[in-house]
Amino acid sequence: MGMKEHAEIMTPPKMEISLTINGTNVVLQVPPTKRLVTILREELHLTGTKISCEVGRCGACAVQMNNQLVNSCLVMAYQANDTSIVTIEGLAGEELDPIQRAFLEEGGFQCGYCTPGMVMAVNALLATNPSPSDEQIQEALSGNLCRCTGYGGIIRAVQKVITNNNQAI
Amino acid sequence: MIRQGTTSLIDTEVLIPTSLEQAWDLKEKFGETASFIAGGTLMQTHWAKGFNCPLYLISLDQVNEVKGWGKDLVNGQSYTRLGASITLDFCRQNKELFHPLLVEAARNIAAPAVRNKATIGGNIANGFGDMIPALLAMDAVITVFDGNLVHLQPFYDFIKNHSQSLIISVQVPDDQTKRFFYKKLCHRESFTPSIVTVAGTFHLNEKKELSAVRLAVSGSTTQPQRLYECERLLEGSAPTNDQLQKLFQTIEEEFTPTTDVFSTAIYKKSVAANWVVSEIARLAT
Repeated sequence: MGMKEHAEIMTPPKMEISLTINGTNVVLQVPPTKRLVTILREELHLTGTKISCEVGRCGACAVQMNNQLVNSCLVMAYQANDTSIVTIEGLAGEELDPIQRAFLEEGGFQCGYCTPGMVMAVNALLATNPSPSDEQIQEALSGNLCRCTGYGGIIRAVQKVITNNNQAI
Repeated sequence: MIRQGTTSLIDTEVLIPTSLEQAWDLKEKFGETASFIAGGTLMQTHWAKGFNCPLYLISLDQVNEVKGWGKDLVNGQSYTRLGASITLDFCRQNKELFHPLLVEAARNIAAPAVRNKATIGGNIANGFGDMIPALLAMDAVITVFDGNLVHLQPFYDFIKNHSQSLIISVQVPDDQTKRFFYKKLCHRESFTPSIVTVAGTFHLNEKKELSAVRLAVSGSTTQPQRLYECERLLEGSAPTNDQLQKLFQTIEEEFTPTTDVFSTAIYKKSVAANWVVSEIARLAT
């Protein structure tokens, strides 16, 4: 329930949130309405998650929350409490994630600002649908805007990952 | 930090009740300074535009009554119940659970990352959501809490009266024998607000006669509306070219969209009329 009566509030109300970020447990004291993207970038210095439109339209800030793709600009701190978050920093191990490698090899980016969100969206898609159709790929990336590539290299990268995965089976 | 109107918001308090009664009492206590919130995806975009953010957010995340889905009998008819906190993506991805018209409507809203948080209850409560015409066309009913009682009411009544009751669930008839259509016009192919959204359902018999016709229209700046005159025009008939022309005219007369900064009401009427007529022609002739 509430922390204070409004009339008494002189400083931002804070709450303790506990969450797992890229496999590490984190406990923070933050205002309950603070955005997850701000927490990631400013409190935890995970700047791979980009901030752009701030209204959930561009996908640059996409991360996974409990294995589902979300825009971290539209997740408030209290909504992230007791969740597991994976950011772009959490994908690669000693080597690049296969999706990241495919983006490199197929020219899936130019300026790179949209790339972390794109990669997280592709990762979320392939986790539930290893062989998506072209239409399903487009739908999965419909919330991620790129203003450099024209999407051709991105789609090629996704298809390359799918092909590689199928060949590995 | 989210903003309250044009000023930086530093003191919004989030209240997390665990029952309908607690949630309602908090809303009663704080009145216009408080809002219920579930996924909050649309509300946050409104605040970013400069709309005032409430001083208190009453989260429905811990209210069990608004969760889950199931089957209900209402007046002897089988319905699928969708809890208000069902996300749009859950609806989109579970074709085997939900009516294809609902799935199609959900597919047309936003993008996966938003749909993973946005809820059906929120889409209804904002008054302009693109699930609304689909639910109107399906003769859905809605379960709400008014502070004293939990009760069922026709979905259209809820929308028409701008009810402030707390949405618990929406119930959709399981009848999958009706023909249906759903169309949404946006400024780009995906993930932009609707200019016009149309939805319709009807039975079609062996003589190609329509019955139980339901037609609904809306838009991101247009109040959802049932097209009763158009429904009456089609009821019991097998559409001819003359009748489809009459339907076109009747839609233009009956549909009352708004003119906004992007599109005129005349344009929206024309879009809706073209779509409904072409879909009726496609499905019924």
